[in-house]
Amino acid sequence: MSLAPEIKAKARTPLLSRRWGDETVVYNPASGQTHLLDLVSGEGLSCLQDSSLDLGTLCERMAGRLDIENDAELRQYVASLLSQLEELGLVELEGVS
Amino acid sequence: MSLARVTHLLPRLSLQVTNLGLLDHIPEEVRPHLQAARVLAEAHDRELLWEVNRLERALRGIETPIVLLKGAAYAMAGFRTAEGRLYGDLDFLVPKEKLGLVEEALKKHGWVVREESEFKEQYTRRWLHELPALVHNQRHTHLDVHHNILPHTDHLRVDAGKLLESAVPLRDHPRFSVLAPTDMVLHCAAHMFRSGDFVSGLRNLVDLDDLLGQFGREGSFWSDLVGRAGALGLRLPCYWGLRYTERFLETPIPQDTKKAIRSWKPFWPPRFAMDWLVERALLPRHIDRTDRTRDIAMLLLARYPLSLFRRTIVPKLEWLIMRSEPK
Amino acid sequence: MNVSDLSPKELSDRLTSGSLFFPTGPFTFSLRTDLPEIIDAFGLLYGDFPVLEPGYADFHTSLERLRGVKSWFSPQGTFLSGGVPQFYPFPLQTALPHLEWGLNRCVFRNAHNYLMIHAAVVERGGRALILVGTSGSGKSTLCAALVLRGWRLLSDEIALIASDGSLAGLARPIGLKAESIRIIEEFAPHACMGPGSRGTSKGLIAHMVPPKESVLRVHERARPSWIFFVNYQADAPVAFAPVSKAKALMRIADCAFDYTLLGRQGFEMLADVVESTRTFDLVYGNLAEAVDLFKGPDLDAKLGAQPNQREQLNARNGTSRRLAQAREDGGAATERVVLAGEPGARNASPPPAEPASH
Repeated sequence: MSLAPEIKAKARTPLLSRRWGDETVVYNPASGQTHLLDLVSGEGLSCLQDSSLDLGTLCERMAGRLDIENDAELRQYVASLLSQLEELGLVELEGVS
Repeated sequence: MSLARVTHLLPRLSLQVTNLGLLDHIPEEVRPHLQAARVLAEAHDRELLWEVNRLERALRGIETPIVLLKGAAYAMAGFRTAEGRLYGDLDFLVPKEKLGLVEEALKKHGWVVREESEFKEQYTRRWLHELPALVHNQRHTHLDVHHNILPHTDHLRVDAGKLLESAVPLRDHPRFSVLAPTDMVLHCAAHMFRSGDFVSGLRNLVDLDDLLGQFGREGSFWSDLVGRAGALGLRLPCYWGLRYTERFLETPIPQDTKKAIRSWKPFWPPRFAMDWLVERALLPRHIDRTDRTRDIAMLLLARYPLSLFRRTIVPKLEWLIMRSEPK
Repeated sequence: MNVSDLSPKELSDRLTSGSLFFPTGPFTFSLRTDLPEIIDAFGLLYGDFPVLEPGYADFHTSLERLRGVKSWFSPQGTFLSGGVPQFYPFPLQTALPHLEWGLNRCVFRNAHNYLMIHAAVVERGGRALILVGTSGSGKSTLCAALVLRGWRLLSDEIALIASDGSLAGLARPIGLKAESIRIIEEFAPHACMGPGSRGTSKGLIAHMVPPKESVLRVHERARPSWIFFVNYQADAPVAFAPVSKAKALMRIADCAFDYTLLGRQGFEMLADVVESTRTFDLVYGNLAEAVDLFKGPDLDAKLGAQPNQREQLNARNGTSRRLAQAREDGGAATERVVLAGEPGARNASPPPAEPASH
């Protein structure tokens, strides 16, 4: 899914989570579903819990927190991640009709 | 306790007990059961809300009214009858001409046809002009899309347009509507005595009693109901519905209303026969006995009235055979 | 007074009239049956269970012969709780297994004031060992063997986690299938077994009588200390490997009866349990070897030091990594796992023929 640059994403609230090492389990009270996130996706969701971000800013933040390069590969991954998180109901997109 | 569990009323009982602050008066041994039933009720509420959320997402961008029906409607509208009710299928109504678009959108979001056999699916589409029952391929939740409240083969035809016209949008979820109060009551009565759904017969009757209690306080409701029953052609179900909520649940029905509907009673079957059938059908099985007459009563009532066989005997028989197959 | 204190006639009278009331852990049952084989088996398997005065019961159950045309050709039975059949009719010769499955079903279908996992639980020194596994995983066999070697039995099928995080026991007979029966008889020839029943979908089934002490101490709660995902593989040497807590949580939730139903509370409870336990995969092919692993007071030492979770984070050395590297460092690209709701959450589902395994 190609996300228009101005679309912002925000994590649904509330979400319950526990982190052990680099893995995070997240429970979504609305859907009743539980998800396992790895290091990168966990960090991504975590960024979105703090604030509503567009794709570019999200990549920046994640690159900073994880100490990785903010390149095209990351951008592609994050775009795909957002799409999946939205479909699962963990994240909501603003600015979508 | 066992009886309440069997008729699916335990969660409701549990919530009522808590709401009335009676929990301290309940013997200690029983409390865990009520607690557990409460867990069930909350889980069902959650599941329903999420389904509605997913449905909204799936139908985003499609211009159509979505009128929630039955349990889903009661819950989303915050009716008392929804408290502790166990969510089963999500039923909703759309205009007939939107069925195609709606089906397409639902399929795109993971809903698939529920019927096991292709024959059943074709039967439903061709003879009942309904969408086959749907189930979500991940969540395994059931969805029923209707364009009318009674099957096409039924000899009673309701003008769905009238229902849609009078539907009321939900305040917190404006994308969805529910039927107008009179229509909701009539739907409940019509559904109870036509679709043969007597397995939870007592629960349906309780719903009707709740709805009447809830709406009955508003000034013109009863006269509106009488008028609407006529306008929709649902006088007979209305008659039986009111009769039996009064009889079994002592629902207060105004004298005027009772007078007005007295003339609706059909000649056949005679009242005493109907009373006998309904009583057998509605009371839950006694703990230690299987009641064969109950099964017969259920079967007879499901076929009522006999005039159903008039036009569509063959497909109807097939439908009954299919429906009584073990699932 | 215990079941074994009743004379055969008294036992038979109580059972046939439905006035046999007995507790299993936190639950009280009443049972009615007039099937002679069941009456005998009950006397053996539940000998150490107390007999209660007829009164309140959480579940009123009965096990009876089904009447009807079909029953003339092959006798059929039914198990009811509160008058509602819990299974499709079954061949009468499988009545005993269905009694045990039925008593389990009453619990896991209803006791939602507990988080219930499909697992065996045994305890020693106040610390509980949870053996998670589906049918055929070897958990019941291992459970039986540990119990024979002195571990206290809480349950062979259902781990009942209370809201305070403690485990409640049932101390009921341990169900064993086909090969397992032979293996246990070899392992401990003195083990007391009930009659075997043939003709179930799982073959021959028999039940081991729960040790008297386990039954006497059933009300003692236990704190979970270890969780093992059990996997029996013929001829495999015993081996264990740590499972990350996050993955353990997901896998346990998958094996739970009512995790989804409990919603938020279920998540918190399970997360707390996982937090306070050590979680492992276990493979075994030889029962004695597996039992040896759990022998002795120093299980934790045998299982090795706790992995230092901070180690992975420290390994990063400041230079920027590519994404793929980061994901690898983070413990291999884990697939995002969506937990489907437990289908059994609906009461409308028809009774199964035999218990479904997850």
